[in-house]
Amino acid sequence: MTPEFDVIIVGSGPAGTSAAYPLVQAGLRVLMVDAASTAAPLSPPQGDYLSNRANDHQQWKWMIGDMFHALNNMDAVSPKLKTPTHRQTFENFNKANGLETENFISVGSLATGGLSNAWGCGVARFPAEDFAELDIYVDLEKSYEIVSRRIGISGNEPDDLSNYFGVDKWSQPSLPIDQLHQRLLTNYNKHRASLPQLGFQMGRSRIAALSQDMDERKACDLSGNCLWGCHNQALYSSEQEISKLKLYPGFSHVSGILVDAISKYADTWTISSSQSARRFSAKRLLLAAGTLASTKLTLKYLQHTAPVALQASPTAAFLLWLPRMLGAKRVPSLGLGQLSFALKLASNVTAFGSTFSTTGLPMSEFVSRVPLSKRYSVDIMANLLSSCVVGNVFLPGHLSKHSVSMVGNEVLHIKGAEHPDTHMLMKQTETLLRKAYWKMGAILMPMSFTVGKPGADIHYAATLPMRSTPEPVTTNRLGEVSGLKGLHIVDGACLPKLTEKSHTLTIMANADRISRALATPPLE
Amino acid sequence: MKLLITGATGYIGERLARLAFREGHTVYSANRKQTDTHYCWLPFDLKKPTLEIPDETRALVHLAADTTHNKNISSETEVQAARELIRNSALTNTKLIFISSQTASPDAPTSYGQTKWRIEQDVIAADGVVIRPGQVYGGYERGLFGVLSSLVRRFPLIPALIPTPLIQPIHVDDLAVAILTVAAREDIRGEILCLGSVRPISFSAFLESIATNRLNVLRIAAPLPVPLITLARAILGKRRTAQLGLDRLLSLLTLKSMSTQTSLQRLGITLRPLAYGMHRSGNGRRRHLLVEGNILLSYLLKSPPDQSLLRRYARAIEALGNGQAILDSKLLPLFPSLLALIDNPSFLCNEQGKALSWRLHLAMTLAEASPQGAVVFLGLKRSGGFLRTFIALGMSVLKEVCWRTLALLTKPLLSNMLIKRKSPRDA
Repeated sequence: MTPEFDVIIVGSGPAGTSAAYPLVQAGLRVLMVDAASTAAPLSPPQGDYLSNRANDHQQWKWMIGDMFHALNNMDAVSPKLKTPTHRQTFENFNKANGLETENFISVGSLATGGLSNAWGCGVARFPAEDFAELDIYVDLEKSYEIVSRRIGISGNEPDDLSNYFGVDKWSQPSLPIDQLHQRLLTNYNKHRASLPQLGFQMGRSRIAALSQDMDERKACDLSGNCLWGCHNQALYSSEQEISKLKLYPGFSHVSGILVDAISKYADTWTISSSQSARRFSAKRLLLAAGTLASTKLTLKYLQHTAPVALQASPTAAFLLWLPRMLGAKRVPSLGLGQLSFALKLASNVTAFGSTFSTTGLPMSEFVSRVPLSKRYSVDIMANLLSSCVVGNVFLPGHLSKHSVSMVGNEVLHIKGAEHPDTHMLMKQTETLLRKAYWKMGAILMPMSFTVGKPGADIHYAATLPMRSTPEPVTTNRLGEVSGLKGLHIVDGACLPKLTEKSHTLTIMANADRISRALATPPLE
Repeated sequence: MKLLITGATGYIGERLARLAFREGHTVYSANRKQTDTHYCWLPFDLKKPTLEIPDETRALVHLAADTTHNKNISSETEVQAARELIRNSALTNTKLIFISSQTASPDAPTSYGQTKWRIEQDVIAADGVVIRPGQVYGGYERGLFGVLSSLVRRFPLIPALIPTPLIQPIHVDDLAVAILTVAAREDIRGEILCLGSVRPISFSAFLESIATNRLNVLRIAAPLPVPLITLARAILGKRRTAQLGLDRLLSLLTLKSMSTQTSLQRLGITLRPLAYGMHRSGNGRRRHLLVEGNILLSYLLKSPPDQSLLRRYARAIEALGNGQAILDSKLLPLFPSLLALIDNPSFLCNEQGKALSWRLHLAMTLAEASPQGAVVFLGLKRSGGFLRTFIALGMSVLKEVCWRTLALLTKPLLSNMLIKRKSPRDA
């Protein structure tokens, strides 16, 4: 019996959609499945954020949700997890996938488009050294270009981070930054001579948000709704790809199927779901369900119960105050990273982070952290925050000691554990950042530097890393699981390692690279 | 079932008839005049107590009594009327339910109580059921409850009698449910059921509840020694006393507590808390929640919250919490800013405080997501400028320091004054 498809892709996020293009362009029959429910997601707010806040009596619907989504998730690590517009993005992921956590925050998505529905849009290229042993960088570089041009990124500036990001040649111009960030940048340029001594380099953030129209997507109009949902579709989401992929005759997309088992008979791979009687078969199976879900499917099939290392980036958040800007007026501005920094901590450790405007964020987030009474905390924050920016920082994934292991046949246990050096490195990061920003006229607010719980970064990777000579429970250069012909891992799980940089673009480029390789020789 | 009610236009009768009708029973109203067309009317007068009970009438609820200030009907007439009803109901095999009074006693100070006791004896002998309700309240302001409500409404002081009489309130609708239950239950016959709150409350607490929970007014309790009232009665004479409704008040003084637990358990009825029953809706839960929302939101926004925001708070607590208010204070609704006294880490870390802290956070998130909140949280209408903002920051810190100091000084009093553990006052 010949299978009905050439390739099945599990997952419709950044990895899955990037893997689909080369295959459908080569004329292959491709089936993409995801576990999205059919309910229509809440539409994003129209108009600009500040006028909506001032006038929209229904604003609670998109800020909190009809069913009080935001209040139900008051303990969530990121404001994004509370946003009603993104409810369907995160809903049910852990439960449906049978994930069990211990000292680890696990966030994933069953929605079409996956986590890219709610990502920070940070893009960067991993350096060649990260793939040195694999000898794939020439192909990967080509894929970086293909993907960057397809998703549309902005931030092309000849600044100190140009090389660090390495995506400028495919970028649109930068989006305007707000006056606080402008001030930081001006001061940075003034002290350019002395700051590198701290190992601190700053430049514009490179983000997957449009500064020029692209197809039906409109350029960012600085309406400030980034967190709540962009009505212009200026922010990239893989969900936007589905309609474009459907133009290729070989492409099919089926939603509502949570794949919980894979099987192989002769040369044919079959996916099945316990909630659905439907089964699909293909010659090749590409797992792009997200690092955690793809790892689970693979380990379950392998019946591998020993722990497997999982990398995630230690992360922290902080608040910067620019005293000279006290009393600045609130203006709508970009809600994504505006300026980014790279901070050298040791020979093999660099920290990376970005700073954001506080305007588009819910103030309650900040107020609840002030150790004063709520009434006056609100007062203080209302006066203070218009002269503040928030920042985040990530450390490389090798500074984590997390692991995943199958418990029984249905549960993936995720155990979070800190690397012994992380604590010290975070302290060092805080000190250096405080010094660097001080020179730029900004105060890193005392007590504001908060280290996130393991997993809070939502950068999970390298459980089934690519190796030039694959050992068991690793993958080869094409993400093909050792000993399992035709089963490829194309998402974060197959990255050889996780750096401090935003890893989404690399996952996409790698998926594209693998698919191009698979599409080139005709599948037998 | 078919239910015959005498006195269906009275305080209790009206609510009972309405409840029975709403539950789909056939209601016969035995009265001097026809008043409500929903019910079948049967002419009946205590003075001429002939009554033809329709076939298959399940129960006859005898509520009719002369409660006018100037007794028009002698107690003998009332007893005779009751006997006539007992006879009639025996003929048609109808259960007789007699609504008596807590004052019923052979040696009651009023003829009212004595008459009730005499009728009780006959009813029990005929295998009927006697219900002795405590202080009936709620619903329309009628009966003694009506008198007390209008007193509280009119006078700035409420009397705190010394020694204070104890009463056992029961909401008129809870009583109606109890009567219907007795009518429906085959196994309840030939007994006396005492219905009222298990734990008696002081008369002045009852008046206070009328003031706070029903009328939303602040009333000060003024001590009033009982001998003074006794003196007043002596001076005014019996007739005047009755005209002023004072005799009813006096009957409270000699009231003996009833043990109601067994009767309530027998009927399987839980009485609503007094505070809830006092509210016009008969259900104070949501009102309390709205009051709480008003406190929290006003505290955060520094101005009264929009009605829709208030309702959203109540809805959120109903959807995500237990739907019950936890703030129960008289001061906070008047001065929401006093919340600053307990909104500090040292208070919010205990169990009670954590619940409040959660609600504060919830209120804050809701408050922010409104145009009103946007102005406060984002400072949209502030003129801005370095100096102005700097001063504003300083003022906020100063105010915080003042409240903290005050909180430290008043700490021993705070818990009782501002927050009470929610224990419904009734059974």
